[in-house]
Amino acid sequence: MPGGIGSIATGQTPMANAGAQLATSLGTTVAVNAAANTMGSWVQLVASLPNDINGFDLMVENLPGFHGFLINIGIGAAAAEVVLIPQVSVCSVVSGSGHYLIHIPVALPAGTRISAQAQSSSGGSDTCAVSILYGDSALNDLQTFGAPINYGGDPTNSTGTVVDPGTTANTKGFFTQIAAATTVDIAVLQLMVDSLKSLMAGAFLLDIAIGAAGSEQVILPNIVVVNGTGPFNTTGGGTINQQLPLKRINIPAGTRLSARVQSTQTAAANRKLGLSFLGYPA
Amino acid sequence: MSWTNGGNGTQTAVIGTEHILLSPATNGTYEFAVNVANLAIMESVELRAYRKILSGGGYVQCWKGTYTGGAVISPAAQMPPIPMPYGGKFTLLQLNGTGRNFDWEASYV
Repeated sequence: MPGGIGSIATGQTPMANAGAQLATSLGTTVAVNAAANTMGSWVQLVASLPNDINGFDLMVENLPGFHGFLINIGIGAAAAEVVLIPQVSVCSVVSGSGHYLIHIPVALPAGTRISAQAQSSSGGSDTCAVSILYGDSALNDLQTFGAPINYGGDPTNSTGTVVDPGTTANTKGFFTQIAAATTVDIAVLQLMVDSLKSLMAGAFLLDIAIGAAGSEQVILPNIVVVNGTGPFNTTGGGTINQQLPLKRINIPAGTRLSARVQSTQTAAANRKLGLSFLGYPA
Repeated sequence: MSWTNGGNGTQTAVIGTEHILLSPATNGTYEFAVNVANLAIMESVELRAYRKILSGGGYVQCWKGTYTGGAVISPAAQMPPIPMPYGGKFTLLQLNGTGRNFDWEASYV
């Protein structure tokens, strides 16, 4: 930035956190709806942003074991929240795990109230911990985009769409449709991978494609997906919560999105992935 | 060198309708700006610019921006200057919510 980051000299804090609870070293507790796969109540993270921001980092953690979660981030006054970031998927296989960090490149003006709500595959008394990290837009020139649309999030399962490599190891499976037709022109694609509430083992390679069924064209090839215990653990025990760095890739409205995967694993219990996207509009 | 205003006004949006705000034929480098401050939270508007590649050709989209209410910190949505030797076209399409009023202008040098 020309002239350096002079705002720091005026006493502005470079970054700020909303939601972290010092007493527990966790984010703010967000309880799900008692009914499974149903969004719970909104929980405030930020009453009023002190300054304009050029995006924020969303941090989710401390999930119950073997439960899938979908997180909405909303803006707006209490009792009038509107979903800004829909269905961020997170899961865990060990109680208290499921750490997830994703950058959201959406600008928000000073005064915005930010809140979160969650659903889980089990409902009941499930909770997760949520916090965000954000910086003053005057201190960076990060590019921002319009509010994203979620493709592939499965609210009936609180995971992403299931992508199955099939029973042959190290061989790409069939393409699975993630979106029949994108509803807007997409400028940036953000990929979210989860382990479908299952213990995962081994290694995965994921292809993302566009095009009609039977005529898919791979646009993002062989994305490495690794379970929490590493690719050479073949007995299971890892969680997958992975998001690919923002991909600046233009996808016109009306495009069919699909994916296929290969894995070192062949057992049904730990060879499949959950996949969804956030598509930021051009 | 100073900018010449090619047109301006206030457009009341009809949801789902791409309104043509201006379609000048004058050769020039154009900028196009719309005030999106009236958007309510999560209402979105798409702004587009088109130009011709050949003098007798049709319009081809050369720029697009999407703006969402509640997620805008600079409400003067601004297209960067784009040369349009055979003129161009500027449009506005509100995607959802209640049709809002949008002040707009397009100038050229």
